[in-house]
Amino acid sequence: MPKVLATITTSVDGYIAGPADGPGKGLGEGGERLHYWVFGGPWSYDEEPRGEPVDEDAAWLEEALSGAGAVVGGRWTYEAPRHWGDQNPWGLPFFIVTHRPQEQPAGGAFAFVSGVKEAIERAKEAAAGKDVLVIGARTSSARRSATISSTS
Amino acid sequence: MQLRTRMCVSLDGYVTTPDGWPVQVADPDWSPEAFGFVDFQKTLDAVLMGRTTFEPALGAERWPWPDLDVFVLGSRRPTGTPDHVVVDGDPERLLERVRAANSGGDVHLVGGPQTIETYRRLGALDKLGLIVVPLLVGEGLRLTPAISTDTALKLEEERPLPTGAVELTYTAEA
Repeated sequence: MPKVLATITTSVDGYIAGPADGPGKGLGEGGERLHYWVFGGPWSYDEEPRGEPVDEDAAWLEEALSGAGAVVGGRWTYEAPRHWGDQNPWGLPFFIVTHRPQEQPAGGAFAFVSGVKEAIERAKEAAAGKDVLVIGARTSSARRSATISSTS
Repeated sequence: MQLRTRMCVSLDGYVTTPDGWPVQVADPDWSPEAFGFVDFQKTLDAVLMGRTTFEPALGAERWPWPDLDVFVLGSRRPTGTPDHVVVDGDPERLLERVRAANSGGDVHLVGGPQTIETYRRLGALDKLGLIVVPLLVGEGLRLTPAISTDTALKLEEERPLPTGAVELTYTAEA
């Protein structure tokens, strides 16, 4: 049974980003530590290239991605890494929830959608029986609210 | 003798509720038994804590630490403190008294975050144990910045508890 899965990295003291997160610095000041595990060790926004995950980290990411058929993220998640140089980083249908869907870039790498519910529905369809991954904190909680209001 | 914490924390990082109670009381499945505190107490000789953490025990229906030595870091002895409780405002001197009284069991560093940091900085904290409860409370006391964000943590153990909480045990470097 395919699922909609939201995952996020949090520090032991309960933070998903450092302060002053923004374009070029989605994890905030000093927030790169939260994703050392993704890149196989220490990295910073100032240095390229990034490393590869290793061992259990690599296995976890491989499993999460191999089960996914589509990804949903918020506008902030799209803007913070400066939209990955306009290339879809997942190799999967990627739906961005935004109030300004008319700004969808040409080329089809990203699908801009104006509501969370619609984004999830389109992602489920595109996922064709596989899971939908939801990334980004506000999109994850908006998804939860959308579920509550649709069942009450 | 190991000095260890076993502090409950919500998934969003709060160790108290907005009203200042230990966050586990907001969990409908909370009980000392279900959270492993009864078993944990059997491994202990003593408890050590800050004055703010200690004071609610004075008005409690049941004394929380029967059969244990109790050490409180504080400059004032609160009114009504039982005679057997050791109160000392000097953290190192208090730690010496803890060690002198110890007969091989562990010492539970109950809290709060400032007292935990005091002993971590002294190099005395052997294990930072946390129990992550599956709750989002939105407000309350946080672990940081009272505990230094420069602290290097290493995960030693993780285990699920029957209620859906997860116990994580770290070593924390001074």
